[in-house]
Amino acid sequence: MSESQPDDEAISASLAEPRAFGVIFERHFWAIHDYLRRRLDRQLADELASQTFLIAFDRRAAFDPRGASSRPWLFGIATNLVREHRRSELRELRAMARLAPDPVMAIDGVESRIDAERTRGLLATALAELPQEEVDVLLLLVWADLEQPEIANALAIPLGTVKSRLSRARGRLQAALRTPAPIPMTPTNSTVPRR
Amino acid sequence: MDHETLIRSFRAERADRDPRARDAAWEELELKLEGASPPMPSAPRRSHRRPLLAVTSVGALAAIVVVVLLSSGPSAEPAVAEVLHQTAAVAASGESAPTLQAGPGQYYFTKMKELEFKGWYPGSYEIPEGRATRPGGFSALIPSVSEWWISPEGGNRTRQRIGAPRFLSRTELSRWEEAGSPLPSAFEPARQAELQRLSSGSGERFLEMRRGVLDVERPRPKNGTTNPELVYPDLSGVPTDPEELRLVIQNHEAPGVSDEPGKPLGTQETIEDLGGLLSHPNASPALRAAAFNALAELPGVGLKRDATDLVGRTGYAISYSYGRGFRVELIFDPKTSISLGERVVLADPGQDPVEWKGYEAGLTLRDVAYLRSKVVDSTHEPALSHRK
Repeated sequence: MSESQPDDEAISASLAEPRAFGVIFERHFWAIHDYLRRRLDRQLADELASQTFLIAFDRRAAFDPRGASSRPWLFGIATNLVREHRRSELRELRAMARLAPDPVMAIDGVESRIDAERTRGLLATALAELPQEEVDVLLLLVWADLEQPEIANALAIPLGTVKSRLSRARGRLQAALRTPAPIPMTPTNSTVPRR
Repeated sequence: MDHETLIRSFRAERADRDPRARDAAWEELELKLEGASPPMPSAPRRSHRRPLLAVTSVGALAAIVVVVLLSSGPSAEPAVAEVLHQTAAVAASGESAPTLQAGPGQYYFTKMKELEFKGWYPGSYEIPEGRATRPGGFSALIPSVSEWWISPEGGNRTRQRIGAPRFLSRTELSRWEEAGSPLPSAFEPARQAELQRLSSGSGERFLEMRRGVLDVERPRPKNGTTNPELVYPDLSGVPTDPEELRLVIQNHEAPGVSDEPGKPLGTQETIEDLGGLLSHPNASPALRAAAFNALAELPGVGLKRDATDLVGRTGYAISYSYGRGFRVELIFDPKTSISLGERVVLADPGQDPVEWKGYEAGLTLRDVAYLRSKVVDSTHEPALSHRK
């Protein structure tokens, strides 16, 4: 197994020598896990990250090597797995929207704690309100760092569909973030001094 | 700040990286890769009759009584003999199952996946391939992955990770959960700490101790002896003629294989020792061929042409009866002659109605898949072969 071996070659090699698939795991495990962890709780993220690679291995014969990197393909599998746990994802997002302030969340290091918490709650609410297919496209773009054609590849949908879903998601997000926070600020929240 | 930048930062703090998550995922995947890979040459096999290659960190091994049946019947069924002779020819070429030979300072590394039915008493001993009959005990199938590093000069490392017990009934599962879900002692931190304390001064190093995992390294004995429970015998003097091989095994004259004093071995014990030989990584192609040919001439060997091992690899199985109602299946890949696995099945619970009251025929007592065997230069190679 070569560290510099491209993904498509490693996957091809793994058809005859399954152990060659190890390089795919080595290379992409944390990217997939990070993405899943941001969407789900720790236990589910651990489980689904593991499942992603087990499924990928089983389906490796169907991998389309034209993309060279297996990242979009792996993120597609992971995203499909998340869909089966959408309720869990929603539950967490809604709980986060209701939560009292966490410790300071730095956004570019300038926002105040109140703004950060308020924004955090709004974002959680907005993501929970987005339709499943739009949130998938959006999060593959911003959390998985996939390009739009890669998202199309990952989700097996036309590029035009990616663009339209993204456009709708952005619109909804913009509207949601203009709206005052749906959760009343707690006294604790409102008395935190600005830095 | 635009909305996408906000989302990019949202929950970024959650992407912490716990190496245990990665290791667990890798171990799952690795098992799958191993199962799908062409088998690696040879692997060790546990003898039921004596503790050769038997690893027991705590507790006592259950005494499994072997009924000795002297060889007197006809030879193996023609179909079995034919298949075994064919495999002998494959083994003799040595191309697909080359001999592994560890040199000075090296180790035989072996990895196995197992599913074993066992009984255990929390904080106390366990009963391999048996059940707990006293109050407070539990009995279940325990999945595990084992890695062994065995030095021909003595010294070894054994790492075992067990999974959640699989109980045969919901009632048993509930009883276990109500008791706090205790694992067999060697895999519970409190007992592990005690083991470590008791072994102080022995040179044993406990590399990893946590619930479900025990990893212990034992140094090479200073007096030049080897650990009798974990050793590959020197097979260089064992005859490679099938008939001679059978005779030296039956007469306890095969060094390290069958050299304990006693009356001549019966057929079942001879089959068991020949099967054991086939699982030694240091057995030469000629010796392995002889063992297959010797097995072909023994009575009481059954054949299952389509057998699947614990990780889904296919081959054929030869089987024989032993003890009070058990059946052993040895699974081989006919294309390579490599030993894929071993299965012990409760074939006839009626033969021991006290021990196995209420248990159905067909219960698997032990299912092992030999995943990998290779020579390595240290006990830290290759625990997780893709780990940096």
